[in-house]
Amino acid sequence: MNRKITRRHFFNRCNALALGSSSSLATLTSLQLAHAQTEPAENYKALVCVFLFGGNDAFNMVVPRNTDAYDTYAASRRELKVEQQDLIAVNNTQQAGMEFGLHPALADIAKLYTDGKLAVLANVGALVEPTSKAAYQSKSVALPPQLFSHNDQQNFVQSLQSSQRRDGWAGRAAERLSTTNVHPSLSMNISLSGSNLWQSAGSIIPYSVNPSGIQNIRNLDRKIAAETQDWGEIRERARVSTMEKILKLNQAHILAREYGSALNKAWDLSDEVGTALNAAAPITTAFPSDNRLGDSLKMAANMISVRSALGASRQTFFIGVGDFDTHGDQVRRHNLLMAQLNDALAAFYKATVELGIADKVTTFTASDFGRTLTSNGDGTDHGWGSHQLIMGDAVKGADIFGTMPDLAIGSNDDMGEGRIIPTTSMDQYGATLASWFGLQGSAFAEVFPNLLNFDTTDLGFMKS
Amino acid sequence: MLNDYTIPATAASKLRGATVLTAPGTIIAFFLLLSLSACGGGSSPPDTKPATPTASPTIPVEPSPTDAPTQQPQPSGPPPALGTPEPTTAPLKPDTSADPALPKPSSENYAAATKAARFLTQASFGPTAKSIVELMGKSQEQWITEQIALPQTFHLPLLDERLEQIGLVPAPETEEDTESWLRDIQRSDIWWESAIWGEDQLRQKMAYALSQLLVISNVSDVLFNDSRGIANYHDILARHAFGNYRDLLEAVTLNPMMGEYLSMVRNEKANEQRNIRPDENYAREIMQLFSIGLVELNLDGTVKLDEQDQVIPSYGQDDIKNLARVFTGWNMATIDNWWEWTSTGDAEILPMKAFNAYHDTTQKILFGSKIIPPNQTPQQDLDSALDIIFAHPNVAPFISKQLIQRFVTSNPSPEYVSRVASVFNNNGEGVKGDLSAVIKAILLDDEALTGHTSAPTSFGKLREPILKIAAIWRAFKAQGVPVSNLDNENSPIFNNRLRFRGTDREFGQRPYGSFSVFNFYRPDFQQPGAIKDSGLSSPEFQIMTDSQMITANSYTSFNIFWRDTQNQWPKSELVGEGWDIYPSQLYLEQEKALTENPAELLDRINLLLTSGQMSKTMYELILDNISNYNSATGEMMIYEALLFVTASPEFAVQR
Repeated sequence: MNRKITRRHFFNRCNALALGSSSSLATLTSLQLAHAQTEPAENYKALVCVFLFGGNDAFNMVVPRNTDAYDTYAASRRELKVEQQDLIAVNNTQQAGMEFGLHPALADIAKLYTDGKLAVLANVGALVEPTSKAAYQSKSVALPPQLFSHNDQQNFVQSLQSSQRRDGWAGRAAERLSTTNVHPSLSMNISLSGSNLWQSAGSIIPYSVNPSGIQNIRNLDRKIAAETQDWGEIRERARVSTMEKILKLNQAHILAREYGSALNKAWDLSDEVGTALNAAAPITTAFPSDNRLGDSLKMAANMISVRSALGASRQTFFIGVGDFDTHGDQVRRHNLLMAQLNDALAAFYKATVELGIADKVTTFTASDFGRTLTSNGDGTDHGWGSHQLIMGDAVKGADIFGTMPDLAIGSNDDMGEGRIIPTTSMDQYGATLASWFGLQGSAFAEVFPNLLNFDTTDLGFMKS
Repeated sequence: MLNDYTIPATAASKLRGATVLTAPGTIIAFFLLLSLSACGGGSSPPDTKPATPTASPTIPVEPSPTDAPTQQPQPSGPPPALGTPEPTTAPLKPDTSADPALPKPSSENYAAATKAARFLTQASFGPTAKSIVELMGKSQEQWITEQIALPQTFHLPLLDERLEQIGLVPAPETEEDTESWLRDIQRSDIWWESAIWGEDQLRQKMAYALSQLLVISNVSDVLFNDSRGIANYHDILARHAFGNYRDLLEAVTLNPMMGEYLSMVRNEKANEQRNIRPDENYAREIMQLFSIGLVELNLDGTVKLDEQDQVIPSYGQDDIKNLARVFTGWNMATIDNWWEWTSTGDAEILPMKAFNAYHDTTQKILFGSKIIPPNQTPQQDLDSALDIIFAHPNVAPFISKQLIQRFVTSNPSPEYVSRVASVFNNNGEGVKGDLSAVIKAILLDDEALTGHTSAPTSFGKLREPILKIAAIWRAFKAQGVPVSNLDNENSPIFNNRLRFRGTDREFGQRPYGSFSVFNFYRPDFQQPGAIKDSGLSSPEFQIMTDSQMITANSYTSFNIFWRDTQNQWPKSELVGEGWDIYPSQLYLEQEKALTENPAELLDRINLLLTSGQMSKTMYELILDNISNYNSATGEMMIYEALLFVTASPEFAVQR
C-alpha cells in the first residue's frame, strides 16, 4: 500500500507550504512551528468520527474514584450515579493524584485504554474562547450560538463557526488535503450516516456509503458486453445509454441540475467503489451483531481496506449513532448505549490491527454536548462540556488529557443545574487530531477559526 | 378539546376497568433500531429479507421509576370525555376502473390539464387521470373546499380491524413485545393505503406535512410497540388538519405518544430531597420546533436583526426552565397513582391526565414579562403557557413557511411567506391559526400557481422519496400485493395490501420514522456546492445521499418492471415471504392501450408524472428509446419509459 508521492502531489505540497510560509498572518508563525510536520513514512491516514447524537452523558462514562471526588459526584447525580464498586479502574498520569473509573459496560474499552491504545479527553466542548463562570454570568465572553440546542450544537461542534453560513472542519481540511488523493471524484470524506456538516465545505461533499455495502443500480448494468446477443441485455445496454444522456442534459433548474449531477456521480462511484470492494479480501474480525454502530464501523474498515485501489491517502469517516438524548429512563438506556459503543469500538480496533494500519487510523468520539449532572427525575437535560474517547495506535493511550471539572453542583465549573463549562475547546481537540492527520501551516487558522483564542493548540494526546 | 380524540367503542369500554400493568419490556429491537442513521442507512440490501425481531431479551424494566410517594396524588378535573368514533366512510380499495380520456398536447384544453396536474402534485399525493379531469371541471378553490368537507379516513379503527383479522387483540391488557413488528406493519399498510387510495387527499397530505413538523418517531425505542398510539396520533394530526393550530398544539402536547417521545409524561416538580428538577425536553422543543423557533422573525419569515446586525434569540434558558415547570404533573390517563407504570393500547391513545400533587404551582414567567400566576392547575398552566406561546409573532411565519416548503417550494419569496403568515394571523374573521385558511392561502397564492414561469430556474422543491413513490402509485394505479404475515405458515393471505414499511432502508425516509424530532431534514439545509453558493435551501437533498440515490432508484425500477397485474410471477415470487416491503403491482390497462403509438404513451406519462413539464430534449431521448419496441413488446415500452422518467432530474423536482 505504499504509494510514491507523484510529481503532481509533490508540486501541490510545495505550493501549500509556500503559501503557508508567505502568509501575511504573522500571528500564525508560532502555529506553523508547533505543527511543522515531516512526511510520514507510510502515506495513509484516516480520521474516524463517531458522533454520539443527542448528547452523551459522559460524566457517567468516566467517573472519579477517589473517595471525596466520588462522593461529590454521587451527591450531584443521586439516582443516576454509577455505583463506585461497579467502575472499572484505570490509571492515568496527567490528572495528578486523581483516580478514575470507566462505566461498567466499557470492559473492552478499558482494556484498550490499559493497553495504551485509547485515551480520554476531559471536559471538552463548544467554546469560542476560554470561558469562566464569572465571564459567563457577566456575559463578557463570546459564546457559540444557542448553547443547549441539539442541532445548533451539532452544527458548532462540526463547523466551529458561529455564523449563519457554515461549513464543516473536516470539509475545510479536505479542501486543503484532497490533493493528496489521486481519485478524481471520490471525496476524501466518507460518510456512513449520510449528509453531515462536518465533512462538507465549498464543493466538498461526503461520499455516502450504506453500512450494508455498495450496490449497483438495478436495471442499469454498465458491465454488459457490447457483443451480447441476449435481447434483454441488448435492451439494457440501450437503456443505460439513454439514461446517461438524460442525466447529462443541460438543466436550467438548479435543483434538477444538482440532482442530475449527484445521481450521475453516485452511479459512477457505485460501480467503481463496488468493484473495488468486491475484489477485496473480506475482513475476518468479528463485529457484534445487532449493533448499528458496529455495522457502520465494519463498512468503514472495508472502505479502508480498498484505499490503495481507490487512490486514497487521506480519508475521514463520519458515523453517527443516535438515542443519546437520555431525558428519561437514563440508567437503563445509557447502559445499553455504552455497551453498544464498547462492542463496536473494540471490534473496529481489532479490524485495523488485522489490516495492519492501527497506527494510521485514529477514531474519536464527539457529541452535541454533555448532560446536566442533576436529574429531572429519571434522566438528564442538555449540558455543555463532556469527555471524549480517542482510539488508535497513534494515540498516547492509557491517559486522561485536559482538565477534569469539579462535579459539585454550584462549583466554578457549573453554570447551573450541573451544566459543566468546558475547559478545553472543540477547536483544540480538532486541531490536535488534524495536526496528526497532516494539516499544515496557515491552514490551521482557517480550519479552526477559534484556535488562536486558546493558549494550547496541541493537546498532546497524539504521538507525533 | 379533550373530547377531540378518536376512541373506538371497544377501547372506550375497556378503559374503565383497565388494569395497571407492570412494565412490559420495552427493549426488544432496541439494537435493531438504535442507530438508524439520518440517511436511513440500511440494514439489509434490497430484496433480502429483513431481519425479523429476535426473541425478546429478558432485560427487566423497573415497574416504577421511584419509590412510591407518601402523599396520595389527586387526579385533577373530570376524567377525559371520550369522543365518538367516526366510521371510515370510503373503503380503501385500489382502482381498476377505466379512466376518462386525457387531453392531448395539441388540444386546446391541454393547458388546463397541465395546470390541474401541477396543482394536484402540490395538493395531493399525486395526480391521477381521474383527478385531473375532475379538477378541470372546477376551480382550485372549489376543489379545496370539497376536500375539506370530505370525511376523514381514520387509521386507528382500521388498524384495530386488521389486528383482529390476523388474530391479535387490538388493545390487550398485557402487550407482547414479539407482536410489535407485526402490529406496526399493519399500521404502515394503512398509512400507505390511505395516502394512495383515500379520498381525503388534502387532509392526509396535510397530516403528513404536520407529521414532519410535530414529529414523533418509532425509530427510537421510546415508542416501541406503540402502533395504536402512532395511528391515533396521525388521526389527531388529520383531524386538526383544517382546524386551529392552537388546538392542535394542545392536542399534541397532551398526547401520550408525544409525552413519551419528548418525556413530558411523568415529568414532576422539583424535589429537593431527591435533588431533581423538571425535565426540559418538551419545553425546549415545543418552542424551538413546534411554534416559534430559535430567533425572532419578521412576518415574511426573514430573520430579525438588532442594531448590531445580530440575530435576536426568541427565548433563553430561563424561559425553558419556567416552561419546564409548566409541563409538570402529567401522566398516563389509565393510571390512578403517579408511580404506576403502564403502556397499554389504551394508555397510548388517551390524552395524558393531570396529577396536581406533582405539578409545580409556583409562578412562571415567560419571555421576560408574561406571567403565569401561581396556584393554577396543570391544565390552567398549560392553557396559559400555550396561549402565550401562540400569541408570539413568530408562530405565523415559522409555521407558514415550513408548510409552504412541504407543499409548494423550498424557497418561497418573503412576500409569499408574508401573505400566508398574514392569513395565519387573521383568517379574515379575526381568528389566528385557522389552518383551513392557511392551506388555501398556500395553494392558491400566485407564487404557487405561477412560480414555474416567474422563477423557472429555482421555484419548486425536490420531491420527497415517499412522495415520488406515492406519485407513481397513484398515477399508475397501485394494486398492492397479496401478503401473509411474517413467518407464520398458517397465516391467511390478504390481498391488495400496500406493504411498504421498509422505506427507511431503500429510500432514506419513512413516515413516523425520522431519526429524531428534527425530522428527516432541516428546512434550511443547503446542499453544498451550487445550491449553497446561491443561498438557496434544499431540505430534501439532506437525505438524497449517494447511497440513497442508488437504492431508491433501484427500488423504484424494481417497483416498475414486470409489475403489471397481468404478470403472475411477481406474486409467486413474493407472496408469503413476510417482508416489510413489497413492490406493489400496477394496473396498466390504459397505458397498454397506447403502446401502438409510443408518443401517446409518453404524453400520458408526461402529464401524470411531470405535469406536462418534460423538456423537449428528454422527451425525444425517451421516445427514441421506446420506439424500438412494438406492440408485441408493449409492456416493456411502458416499463422503460417509466424508469427513464422516474429516475430523471426533471421528475425529481416538483415545480
